[in-house]
Amino acid sequence: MTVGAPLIRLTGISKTYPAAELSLRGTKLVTQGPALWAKQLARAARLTAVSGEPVRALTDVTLAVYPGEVFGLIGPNGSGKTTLVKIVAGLLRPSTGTGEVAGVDLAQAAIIRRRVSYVSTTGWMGLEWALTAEENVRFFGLLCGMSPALARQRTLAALGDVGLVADGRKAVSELSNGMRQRVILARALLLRTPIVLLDEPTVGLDPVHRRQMLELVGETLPKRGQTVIIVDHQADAIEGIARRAAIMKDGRLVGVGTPAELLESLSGLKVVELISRGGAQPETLPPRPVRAVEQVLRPGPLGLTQWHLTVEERPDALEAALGWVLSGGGEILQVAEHAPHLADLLAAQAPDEQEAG
Amino acid sequence: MAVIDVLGIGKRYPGRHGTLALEGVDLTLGEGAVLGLLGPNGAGKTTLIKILSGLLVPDSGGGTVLGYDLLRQASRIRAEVSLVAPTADVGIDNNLTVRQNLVFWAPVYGLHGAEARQRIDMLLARLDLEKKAGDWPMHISAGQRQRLALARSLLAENTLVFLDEPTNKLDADGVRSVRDMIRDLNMNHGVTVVLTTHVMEEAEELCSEIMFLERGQIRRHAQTDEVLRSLGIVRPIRLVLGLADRAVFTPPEPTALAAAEDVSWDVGAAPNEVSVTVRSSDVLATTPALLAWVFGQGHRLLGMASAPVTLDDAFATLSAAGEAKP
Amino acid sequence: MASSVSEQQGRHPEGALVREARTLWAFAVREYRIWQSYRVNQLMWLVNIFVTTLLFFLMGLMVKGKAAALIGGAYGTNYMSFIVVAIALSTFLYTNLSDPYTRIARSYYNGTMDLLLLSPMSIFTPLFGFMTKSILDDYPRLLIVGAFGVFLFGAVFRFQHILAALGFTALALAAAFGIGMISASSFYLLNIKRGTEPVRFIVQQLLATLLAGAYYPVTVLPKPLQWIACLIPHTYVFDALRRLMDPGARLTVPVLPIQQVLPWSPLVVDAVALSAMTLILLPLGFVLYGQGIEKARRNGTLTRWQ
Repeated sequence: MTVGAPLIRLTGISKTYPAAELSLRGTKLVTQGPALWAKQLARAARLTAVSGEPVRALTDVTLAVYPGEVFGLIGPNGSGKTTLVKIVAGLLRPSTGTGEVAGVDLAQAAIIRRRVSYVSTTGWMGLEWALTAEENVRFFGLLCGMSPALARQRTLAALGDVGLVADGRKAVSELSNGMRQRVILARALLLRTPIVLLDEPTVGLDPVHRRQMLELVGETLPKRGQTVIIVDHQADAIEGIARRAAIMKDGRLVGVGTPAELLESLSGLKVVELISRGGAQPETLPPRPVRAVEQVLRPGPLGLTQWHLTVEERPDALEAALGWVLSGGGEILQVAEHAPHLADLLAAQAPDEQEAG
Repeated sequence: MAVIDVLGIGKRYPGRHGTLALEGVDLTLGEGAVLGLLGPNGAGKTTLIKILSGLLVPDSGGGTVLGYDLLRQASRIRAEVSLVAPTADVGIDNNLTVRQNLVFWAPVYGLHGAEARQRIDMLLARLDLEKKAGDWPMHISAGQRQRLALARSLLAENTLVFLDEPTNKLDADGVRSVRDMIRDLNMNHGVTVVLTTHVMEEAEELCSEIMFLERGQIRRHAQTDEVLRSLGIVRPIRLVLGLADRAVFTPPEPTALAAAEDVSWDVGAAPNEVSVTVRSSDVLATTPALLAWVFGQGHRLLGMASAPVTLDDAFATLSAAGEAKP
Repeated sequence: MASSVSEQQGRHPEGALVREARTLWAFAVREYRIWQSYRVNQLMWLVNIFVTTLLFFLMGLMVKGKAAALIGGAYGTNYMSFIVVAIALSTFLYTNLSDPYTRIARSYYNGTMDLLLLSPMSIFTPLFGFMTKSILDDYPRLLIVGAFGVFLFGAVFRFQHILAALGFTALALAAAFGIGMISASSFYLLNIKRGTEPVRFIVQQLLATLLAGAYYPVTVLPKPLQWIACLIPHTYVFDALRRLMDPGARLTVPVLPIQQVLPWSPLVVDAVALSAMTLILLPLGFVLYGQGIEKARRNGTLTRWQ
């Protein structure tokens, strides 16, 4: 699938948000060009305040996404994922760097915006409360110049894709939050643009619809020839469906590749998940085979404790880990070993970065 | 005394379709419980929370919350419970900084002076918002806004807290700090919690009991471990053992391992290794017995994997049962 | 953290009223912080008041010399004095009448109504709390309108009846707030979420603007419209304050048709009418507003956010 020219190509993209010049109530003021004298005047009159330094959201991001790919972006909140997606969507202009999206230069954002669908789950993205779910989706199609027949047919298909056929005749105001989110998704599926950008599409969906959604993104969209960039802070959502993924940290790409390639840095390690009952905190520090420990207490009458141990891949590692946990007493109710996931990679990266800084 | 004791709660929203939101919901919740409300989108979870917090009047049924009558003393209930909605961050005043938002609400909840300052500082610290205290709400991330909304609701030291999808917009660190906060409220301060979530792992981690709702009706309500055990799903536990004595291997008797169905084994990759598979209807009960057997025999445990029944399975099973019913 | 209900209540030894007062104070502090940060706005608001008074000053020039005949003798001879009373009072009345609906609508759209109800305060406290903004933002305009009128445009006032004038103003404000609450309750009761709210539209936009005699005495209107003008508080408070504040105004010459019919002095008629309106509209406002909230609690429409 990676054969051929990339559909999305970004080279050396950086984005710095200017130091927010704010009126004291928080409204951002225009600070460029002919408005400059006004700014000085306003500042002299103490009508505005500068809040802090310019914010560097992206630093030198170079990336290629190929046609038909499902490409994942993972990283903690504030690592620049949304900024990057908005640049690809033509909603933000990068500070430096060049790029092409669907054969169009980034500078021609107006054309790009017609070739991408963008879904964000923060806010309700202009859903009309009084109209039905079906109308919301269909009218959007009509607004985009579809024929009424095509709009009707695609709307039905899109509502089917997100599992909203039965509830499609209800007004948006009558739907639950998870359903509203699926209406927004259905609307984005309508146009079948070459590129679909999904910013946290699974937030707030119940497990069944979440699985459905991931299936849709991972299988149906690529079959239709659409290329997907999916952003999620839950790395496991992406691990299952993305052919390739990029890990972001503080505005930089710290790794790009297939999930297997990305996980190579954790080779020689495995994860042991335990559940124990009773017992105290083990007093000693973890022995050498146990690299990292995460412990979660569960409330309730059972007094269960959940353990997430990162251990070296050695024959005695499991016994050492069990022994260490049992040194605090209690009994072990469950043991599961598995190879590290992308989520473990994110967790593993945090301390490194701190040492460097 | 039960913190929540309601019977036959029903609710239908007026409107073009007269959506049925709840039907015949009974709930008794003791002090110090953490109840997880689970169910597909639109099952009625949010409606139930709004009724129990006194924001919404049920069409039928009634009972008491915190000892107050649900129908006649709703204003008392509202004054003494906290509720965090998934969209609570929309109620944040963008004209005030993060701290000023909390300062405004403190006297509303009866907190003044040094006491108010202390509590605000504590909440900002516990929810990782200290560095953002002077920032405008528009300039912090969605996850931070969500935590600010949580902090605001927790200003009041209420003994009953409703949390509607509290970790929805948060990244891993945010999820951790909010779950720790909930656990601390419950375990160290005796706060009773009712929460909804779509993350089954979260419900399993936090909730002492689970209520599974579908189309406004209760499908299942029980202690969390009972919900898991009662599903009757049989799961394998796999072990790789290094034999104490490479000549002899006697597998354990299924009857000696609690809840085990059967035991099978095979020679392993190396000459002194065997792989054993124990199928169990209750992994959490079988595992301790199995480990005791392994160490009792003097074998070495080289590898082990088991997939206990989780609430994810419960969700799938229960909603499948719901589909099957007409 | 408190672990029992009694402990919980022990936190508020000061009693319900004091707590409500503290809550109102918190609203006031918040509104002050916000008001303080809208500096551009404050500048605009000065300019706006200046332009409004200037406009009427210029119109006053046009009718110079004929003013006495036009405004009918009962209110003196100075058109600027006549108009400044109306501009100053209109700001007050407009705020009390329109703000409740606006604020309720906003708390519906931004989801704060849930939060406000989920805190230990009465359902009316938020309404009063929102009004503290008006006290900060709109009430000072009275002084500025007056200052512009007196120092720049030649309005003249007498102050020997100031206490009576304040009394009339207070009554009119209370009545207007009653209408404001009725208007706010229509948000829930009539389910008017978008577009124009009818109570506010009829009283404020139609009756008060056209008939209350803000810019001209009601006597220029046809008789039937003069009687309709007698239905809203604006008409009476304009009449009373002009009689009390304008030098040369006469207390005994009836102007409103109802003053001509009733055997009492015009000021007594004003006082009785305003008192009656307050006694009816204020309680009605409270009752309807309470019912509105209850209806919203049944229908699940306290906020648009679920």
